[in-house]
Amino acid sequence: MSILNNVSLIKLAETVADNKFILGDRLVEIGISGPNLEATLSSIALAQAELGHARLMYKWANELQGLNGSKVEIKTQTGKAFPAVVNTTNWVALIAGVYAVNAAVDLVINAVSSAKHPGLHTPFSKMLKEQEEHLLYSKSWCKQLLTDKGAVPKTFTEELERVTIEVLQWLKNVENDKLLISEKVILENSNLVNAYNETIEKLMTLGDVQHV
Amino acid sequence: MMQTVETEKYWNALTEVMDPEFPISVVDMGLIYEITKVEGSKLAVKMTYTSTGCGCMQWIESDIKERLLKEEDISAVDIEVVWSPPWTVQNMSDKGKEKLRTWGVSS
Repeated sequence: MSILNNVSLIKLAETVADNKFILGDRLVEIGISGPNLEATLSSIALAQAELGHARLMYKWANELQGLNGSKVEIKTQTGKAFPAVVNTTNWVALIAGVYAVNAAVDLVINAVSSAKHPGLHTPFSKMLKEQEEHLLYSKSWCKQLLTDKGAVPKTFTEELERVTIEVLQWLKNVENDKLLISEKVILENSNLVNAYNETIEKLMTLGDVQHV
Repeated sequence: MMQTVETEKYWNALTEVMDPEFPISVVDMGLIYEITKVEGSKLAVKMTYTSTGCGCMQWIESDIKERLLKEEDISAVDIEVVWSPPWTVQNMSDKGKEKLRTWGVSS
């Protein structure tokens, strides 16, 4: 059962790819002047992997359109990256974006994988493993920023809210997408919005997370 | 790793292709998943990388092709990059792990 040219699925793939493409770019642009050397080095390493994930997702999007995935050449995003991610200009917003976007992508890709559509090739296991590390690293920075001094916690909360509003809208669209559900690419009870809200709530409840 | 008598010499040939970051062959790194001979003089190589963001992909693929094309009976090489199963250090051969330790990297 082929799933070629499912417009909703192609849009989903390109949304993930665009956001990771922009995150990769911002992790270099902003990360190069990170708060300390360790943060800068980690940021560049994260950027390399985010760009790798973007390449993987663009290739997948091409294959879903019946095109040759290996001939993919990325010069610009397709316009589906979240505006909050595109407009990231500082470290606090960058960390909020990396965590907020990857937490959502993790839920969506796991939902697609667990639906086990027989005609759908889902080459994401390596990306998900790497993404776990990105979530762990950005989460520890989120915690640090939330417990920082002065205006930092408030600024971080505002930046996180700014990006999560856009992410939640996307998740809502995905979990209610009739084409994705009718084609069984995503199961009807995926509960992406609820799961995402729980993840963000847990993050905002300050706990002990070691800085990595 | 899918190694057969028919493809053994190609696996051996790829032990001469080194990862650009460490002097360990792509075979000992566990990057090569399968080599199949198709259409008489054509090889199909299924491989992976240690990371989706590996900056040496084109370099390594080019080295693999170049080496396999030196085999007299081979005129074409197709490389397919796959991400499942994902690469882990468990993919590495004992020889590869030993070399990593020699270079001071834990595996």
